[in-house]
Amino acid sequence: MLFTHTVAIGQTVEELRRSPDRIETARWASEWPYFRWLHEQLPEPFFHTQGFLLFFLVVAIAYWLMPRRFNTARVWLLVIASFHFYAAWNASLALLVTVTTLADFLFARWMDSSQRPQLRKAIVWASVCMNLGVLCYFKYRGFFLNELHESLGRFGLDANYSKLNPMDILVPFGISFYTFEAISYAVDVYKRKIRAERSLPHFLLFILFFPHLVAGPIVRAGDFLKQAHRRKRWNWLRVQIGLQLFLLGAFKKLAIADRMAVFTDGTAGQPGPFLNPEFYSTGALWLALMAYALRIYCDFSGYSDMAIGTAHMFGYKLARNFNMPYLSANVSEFWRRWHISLSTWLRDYVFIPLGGSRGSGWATNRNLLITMVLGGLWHGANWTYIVWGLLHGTMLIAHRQFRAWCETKPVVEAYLNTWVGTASRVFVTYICVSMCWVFFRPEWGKAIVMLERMFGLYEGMTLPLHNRSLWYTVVFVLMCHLLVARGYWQKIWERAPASVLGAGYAICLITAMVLAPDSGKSFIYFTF
Amino acid sequence: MRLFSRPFAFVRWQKASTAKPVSVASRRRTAKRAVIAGFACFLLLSLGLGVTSEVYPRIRDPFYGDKLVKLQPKLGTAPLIVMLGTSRTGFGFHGIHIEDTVLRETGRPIAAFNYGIPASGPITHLIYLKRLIEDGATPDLLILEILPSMLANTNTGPLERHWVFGERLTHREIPLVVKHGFDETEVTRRWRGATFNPWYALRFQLLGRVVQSWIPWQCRYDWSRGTDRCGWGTPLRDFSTPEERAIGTIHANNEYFAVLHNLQPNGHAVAALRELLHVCKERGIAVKLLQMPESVEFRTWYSPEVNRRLAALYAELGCEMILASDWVPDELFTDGHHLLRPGAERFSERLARDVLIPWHNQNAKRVAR
Repeated sequence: MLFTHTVAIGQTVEELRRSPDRIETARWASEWPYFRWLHEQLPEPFFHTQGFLLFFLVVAIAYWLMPRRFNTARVWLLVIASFHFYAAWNASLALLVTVTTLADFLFARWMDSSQRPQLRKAIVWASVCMNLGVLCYFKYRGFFLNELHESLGRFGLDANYSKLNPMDILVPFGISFYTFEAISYAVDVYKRKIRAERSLPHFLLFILFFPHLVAGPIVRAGDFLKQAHRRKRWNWLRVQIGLQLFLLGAFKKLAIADRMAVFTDGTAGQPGPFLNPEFYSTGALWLALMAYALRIYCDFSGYSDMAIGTAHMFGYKLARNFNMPYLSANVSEFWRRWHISLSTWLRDYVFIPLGGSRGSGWATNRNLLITMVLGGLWHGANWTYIVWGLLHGTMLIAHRQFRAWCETKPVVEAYLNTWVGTASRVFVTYICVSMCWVFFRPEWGKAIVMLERMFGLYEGMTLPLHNRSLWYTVVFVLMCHLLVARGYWQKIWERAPASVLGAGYAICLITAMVLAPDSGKSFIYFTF
Repeated sequence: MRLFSRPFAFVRWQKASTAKPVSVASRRRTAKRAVIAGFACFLLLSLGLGVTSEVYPRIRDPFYGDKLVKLQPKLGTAPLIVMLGTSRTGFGFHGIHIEDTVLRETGRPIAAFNYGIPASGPITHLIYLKRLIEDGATPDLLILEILPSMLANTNTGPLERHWVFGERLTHREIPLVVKHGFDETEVTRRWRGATFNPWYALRFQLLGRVVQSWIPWQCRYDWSRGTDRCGWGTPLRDFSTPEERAIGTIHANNEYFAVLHNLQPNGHAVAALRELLHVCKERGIAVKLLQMPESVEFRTWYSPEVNRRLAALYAELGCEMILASDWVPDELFTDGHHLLRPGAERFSERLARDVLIPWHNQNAKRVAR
């Protein structure tokens, strides 16, 4: 038994070690020396790295030194900086994003100038299909072709092509985010909600602006372009807010998310419960699930905070993406608090066009299910993400039915609105959402094994780190949530003296640095 | 006095009770000061820790510093015997057992101290010996463990460069490691990181002082803190099952076989060993070299040619060489080269009787003369 463990762990470690090399080979197949040099300076498109901080500092200084009246020049500067930010990772793909953005710009201009409904419709379809085509080619090609290959094989037919290895497919980072931004822009112009942007640099900035390019928030043209045209004035208050958000995000990422990743993914010598659930005890798996729930929240909301903070320091206000989702009292509320920019996008561009909740109960449920399955598929090209979306859709439907039932039972409704009832609802929602995270990964088999072992009484390995740090982190996050929910945090930062705030920022940054684990983990949503 | 009566007088909270909203102008002023104060505070704290860690090695290198704290009360009480070595020494050299045995047999005390540090070799030992001399802890007898694999001459420099990073060194020690084959750019880069961004670069050293259990074992620096008063890293268990020993031996084989089978003991590591012996000679420190116990299987990983090369090297070094490879039976190891508690006791007992008591008697005569 012990031998089997050793060999299996060795194999997993070996696979993990080899995978980045394969990506690296693919990435540098057709790069130029200048961009190679750029890659060395900024090896990862992550905000909490020294390379990025230096890049940000250079761009910010150049940006604010530029006279205020040269707003377009400032916009060009940000466009060029954003292109370099992407090109440092992959120049060819940076070019691809720029070209599709250019095409979107021209499509929208053409659509806006045309008065013929048929032509406008054709153009909007062309724009949407182009964006979805790029998304499907890079993100879903492997999944669909491999599924087709398997299906044909089941019927004894030869597919005449070999299966694709997902590790060999290079997916441009942020593709799901910027294609959705481009689609929403095209649809809004088509529906005449907004006019097509006349200035190319401003439109390029809308898509390429580096703070939201990698992993959102998904911005809307109506919100962003107005800001891009406004002349920006240096404002210490905005700098403070930006810095505060950036520090908060860095703290969430380094001190919490990356730390929790040790509980879920393990260390170099011991792959964690999310990678090898078959070796872990039932208790360890439940704790790992809690750690994963915390990790994914702090990872993504931390990233969003850093993105919003960075944008603030250039005078741009991006939409809030998270609002303490684990304090939601039901799944519907959860989706109003979790990844807000995506959920509102799905609501506006999928759910409502499908008919929303205007039709019968059955039609509404169907629309919910379709929307959530597409939401799941948006996260990753795999059956597990589809199941994840399906589960959330089912929970939303169940909640709708339950709410309708409660309306006929005032006693039950009154109980649910007491603090005990609310706490119970928050707890149940948290458990349901956390259980769905088991499927939030590409390996179906591992998810099933994990669920199976969670509901049995299995013995096995304990977590890679002592549980104590997990519990302390959980309590700390809970207390921070309560502090913010009760409004104390707002009071503190508005009224505290500058010296206390300054010391607080320094201590926050230092704590994040001290608690950072040995090797930085990539952002989970970076892969979407 | 006024300052002490109101130590936080500079902190003036804006009263919330009036419920008057804070004006934008006031918030802007506060914002400017807060941002500047934040940067200043961060720079000050970083500079403070960077400078402190440079002069106080316990922060940078707890492996060394924590043991030094345990060694200091022993200084001047009796002849000092220090064993510098690797994790094998760390688990094997049972100082208290040795002190008791020597006292019982000779009636005169010695101070025995275990300076076994995981993944160390001649270059680390040279640095540590120099530090000990500077810190006033010059040993009367130095027992130096030779871990043959650490003497390997590789094309890319000494093996120790994988473990002794720039953040563990002071600025004065950089030329020494560079002379012995470390990459100057890499060492300097890491040293600079530890000096100018110390909260990040020294985070495991710092965190290990407060909450060791929060750090994966590969990143822990608290090895020396958990040792006994003589520096012995007490093994957690008294026995191991044959299955556990087999797995341990597989791991050891993966780690050592390739290096040991074709070992060329020369290059930077051997040069550092020679320099260390030269320092001892200059300072009048008695030295004995020792190869720690190994299991029967482990010993087969050295080819006959490698054994000949090692013997030639030991002869050339001109120091007494204690070959303790076969002192302990196989069942007293965890993995073929790290000793369990009974193994450590057996090894220490024999070391005390065969080596230390004769030296102690001779030393007493020399002092009396």
